[in-house]
Amino acid sequence: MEKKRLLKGAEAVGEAAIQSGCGRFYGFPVPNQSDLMEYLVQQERAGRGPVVFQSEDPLSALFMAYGAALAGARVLTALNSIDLPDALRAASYFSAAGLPMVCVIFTQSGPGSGNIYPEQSSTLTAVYGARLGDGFAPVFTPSAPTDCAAVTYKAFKTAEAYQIPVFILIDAACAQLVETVDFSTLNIREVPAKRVGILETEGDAPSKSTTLFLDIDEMGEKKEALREKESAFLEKEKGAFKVMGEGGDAVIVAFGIGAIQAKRAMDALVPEDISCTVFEPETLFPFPAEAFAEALGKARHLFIIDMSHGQFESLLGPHIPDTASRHVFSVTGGAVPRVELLKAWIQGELQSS
Amino acid sequence: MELKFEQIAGFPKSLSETPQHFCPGCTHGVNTRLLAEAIDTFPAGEKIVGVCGMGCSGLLPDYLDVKMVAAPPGQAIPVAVGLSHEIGGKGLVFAYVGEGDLYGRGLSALLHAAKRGESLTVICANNLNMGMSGGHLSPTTLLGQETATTPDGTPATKYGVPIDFTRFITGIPAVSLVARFKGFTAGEIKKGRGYIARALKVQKYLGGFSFIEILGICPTNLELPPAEAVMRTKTAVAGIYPSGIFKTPEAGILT
Repeated sequence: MEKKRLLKGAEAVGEAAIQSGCGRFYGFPVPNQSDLMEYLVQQERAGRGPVVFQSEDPLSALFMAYGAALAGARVLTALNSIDLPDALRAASYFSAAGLPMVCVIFTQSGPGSGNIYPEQSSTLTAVYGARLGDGFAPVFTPSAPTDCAAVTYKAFKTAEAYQIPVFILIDAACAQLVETVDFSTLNIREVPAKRVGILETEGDAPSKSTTLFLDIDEMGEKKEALREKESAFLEKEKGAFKVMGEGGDAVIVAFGIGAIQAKRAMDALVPEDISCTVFEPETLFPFPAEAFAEALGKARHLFIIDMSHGQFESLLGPHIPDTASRHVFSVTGGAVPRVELLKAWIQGELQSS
Repeated sequence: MELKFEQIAGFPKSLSETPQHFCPGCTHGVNTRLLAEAIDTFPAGEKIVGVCGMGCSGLLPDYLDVKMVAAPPGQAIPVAVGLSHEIGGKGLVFAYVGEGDLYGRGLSALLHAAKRGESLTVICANNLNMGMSGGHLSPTTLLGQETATTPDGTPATKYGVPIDFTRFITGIPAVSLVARFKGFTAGEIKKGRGYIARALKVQKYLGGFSFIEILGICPTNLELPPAEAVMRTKTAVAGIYPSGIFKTPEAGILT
């Protein structure tokens, strides 16, 4: 296999999943998800990668993955944001059963069927929705294909380390974006498995898997164990991020295609003598709060690129000090924030303040 | 003269000694025992994993001494399919699901698994109502039957005429074995044990998809003493949900 590959974001996820040791993929054809599934099918034909199975619907895909995970498989699923509620339901069961899964959610415009173009209006649902029943799932948000690959590896490692479901949110633009991914720099290794399947369990190991506990005390104990697991997770995992530039005029915060455009706007502002820092969170849960606070220390003006009706801003809210001057650029409906508009916006806001 | 005794019945090895929560007269207890007896026809080392759905069947993991998984409502078949894919020929996978779950929100997954001929044994406990939720209308509730949501009797005008899902599954080409029996008459219980064991053997030796429906009674929700619930249900299902073997791998569709 060539170390350098020209790949779409969705395909880069697939390649990284193969290299991470993914054993089974379950999916259902929906925009962007199909690119990932088709890539994996091609690799399967070539004798590598997970066994791919197209299920009758997205919910079945998630619970087939649940069954396969119980039997010991390392599983990957993917769906479109319009089916995100199915993923949340499944994540609640994976959390309860203590099973690892990586689930990619390709985000598109909504509400309703919306359109297939990029939007980040599933952000809060993904971040808070996995709390259904007090379960939890980390939420990764890569941007360019190389990041998609790197984050997929991190997602598999996190899922395995804590035996939990992990979400990767990828907007439709990043899913389709093409670049050369140099896998020799990513150092992806097969993730060692921490458990065996239910058929192989012996002795005192649990031979039953249930998430139904009619006894209040027993349910309480299960919840307490999950709370401790989450505390240990949050104690260790402080969130992933990227900081680009170190300019003191403005800090731009964005993720996904927003971060790619922010970086380009930052470059376009250099000739105008405006120096920026771009802060890109690569996880929204846990949010890299300390690193964000440090980045905010570089400038008084904070520019938020929000590809939803205030969802990203609302997520950032608790981490923004009152002293910061906050500016929000909102773009929705499937449009990508254009660099010239971002440039003019930042320039204009800085001049008028 | 020395008397020699042969044990012809006993406590099934695969049945747990945990007291069951089922109501008096409920057929889930019979079904659970039949499952255990069918499992006991395999050698001790046979690897078997069961999946149960939501409802009265949801506590089956406590009652069977085999590897068990409790699935979410409507998802017993996808979970069983995923297990079966990963386990492959190394073990047997069965699903035991109530009809409210299996023929309701689980129907699509059931039909698709049947269509693909997944290596799976599916047992549907059909007691004609959603038992654990409190005796509500289920997909197989009979016309005129009183339920918590149709207290004046289930009307065809609003809920349609019941269909025989077992017959429907029989017609799916990739399905190997289909049978139905009443879990509340002595003769059929005896036959039923054989059906379940045969279904598991079809899975073991042919890797096929088998489907067994067990008709049951729900005395609590029928608000009848068990004996009367048996008589009433026996009469009510006659001609609508007939018993027998409908399909075998050797002969195909039989009736």
